Amino acid sequence: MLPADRIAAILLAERLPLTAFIAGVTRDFHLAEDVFQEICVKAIARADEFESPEHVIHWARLSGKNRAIDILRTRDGRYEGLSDELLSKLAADWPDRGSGPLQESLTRCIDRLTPNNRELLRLRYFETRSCVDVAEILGRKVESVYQALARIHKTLGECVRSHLGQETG
Amino acid sequence: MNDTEFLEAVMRYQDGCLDAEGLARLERELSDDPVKRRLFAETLVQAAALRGEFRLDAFRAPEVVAKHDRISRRGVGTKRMAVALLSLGLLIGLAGSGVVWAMAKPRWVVATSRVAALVDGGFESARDPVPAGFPQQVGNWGGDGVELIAEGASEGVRRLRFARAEADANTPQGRAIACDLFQLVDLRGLIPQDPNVGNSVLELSAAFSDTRPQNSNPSVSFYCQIYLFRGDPESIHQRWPSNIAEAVASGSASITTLGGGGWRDVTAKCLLSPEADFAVIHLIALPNMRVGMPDGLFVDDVRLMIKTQPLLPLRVVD
Repeated sequence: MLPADRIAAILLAERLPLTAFIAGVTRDFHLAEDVFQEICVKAIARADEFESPEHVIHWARLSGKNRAIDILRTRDGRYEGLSDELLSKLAADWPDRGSGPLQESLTRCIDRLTPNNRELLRLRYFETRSCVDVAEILGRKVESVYQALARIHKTLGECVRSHLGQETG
Repeated sequence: MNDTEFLEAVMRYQDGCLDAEGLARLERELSDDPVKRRLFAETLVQAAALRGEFRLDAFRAPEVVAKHDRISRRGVGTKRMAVALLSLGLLIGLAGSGVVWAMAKPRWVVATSRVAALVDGGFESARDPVPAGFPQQVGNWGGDGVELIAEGASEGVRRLRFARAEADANTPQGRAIACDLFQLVDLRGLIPQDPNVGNSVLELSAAFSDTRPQNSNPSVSFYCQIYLFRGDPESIHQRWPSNIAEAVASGSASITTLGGGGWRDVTAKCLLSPEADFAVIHLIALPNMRVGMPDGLFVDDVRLMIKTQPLLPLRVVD
């Protein structure tokens, strides 16, 4: 059994990967952050049920997934996304490292990007604009925006893994 | 699918632009290949971290955001900045580094009541026409070019149409890109005097409707924002919006639409700071391209609720 403050600390340390996992369902980081908050409250309410940090994290992923799908069904009348079976499979493998080292590495790696690529990322992730809007603002074709985002993520991923000293395989 | 093609599919998926065939293919790739599942996870975590990184960037040097904003000018920039600063509210609430976290011990009986100081959220008795500009007194609506329409309301008889974008009065040279609506709400008397009552949360909700045909362009984002300030509510208009940074707390929520009608509720949440004297309620319709304000954008049923126990389980302490 874990005390409530320990559960809060675990969830806070896992905020980034948990929010990312929920965003894989919602496709909306703002909504994913709201779901994460709800999950924190629920977790603390049932503190006496958790036996280990792994138990908390696994429960949070599955509860976040279910809550996100519920919200989308209520809001849109349907859920169109990755299947429940696949999301459960993803939840089982989802990385659970803390946010600090990743954020530090990312800060360094972003500094290596060109100003244009930084601007593209800023529009997409800070202003949360759709790729159609990003393409319009930057005067590019939407196809090239998807390609550029994919390329930037690949480059950043390699850079971050290098900083974190991980094996890429 | 090689890694680059796979990442492109992930980008489309996250953008909501993957068709049924593409979604089925992405599902197969992820189901069959643990390496792809790992790459998917890393990419989403990276995207979440990028979001945090740009927020931190804005926190460190807010002026950089305006400088980098290609479509920002003074008027535009301040509106963008408002959104950025509200994002920081969440940053401080959830992602702040270098702060100490404490548990707000939950009380599971939540008391909720409507804040009557937000006047006429249904626009039933608002002055017609709605006064132009930022309001100078509590309890009055004011803002850009808005019109009251006596049909099609979400509740009651009247709804409010976002008709024209106008620059802020204090930055008349600014370019107008969004249509804003404001009300000042006096919060004195709402702050619990009993320190054992626990934290309270203000929830600002509004129903927005985009009645253009389905899949109309440009997309339009509706924002529901609340800022809490100390001091005299009737003097804040003198420096709005440059004084947004002085807010003691804030909350924001938004929705992006492409027409299709119907009412969509948006709710922004904000911890009720004991320092707060009044709130600025700010509702926005923002076309996501530099065009005039599209016809058919409405808001109705604006509500401000107070909950005696926050949904946020955490709070920042010194």
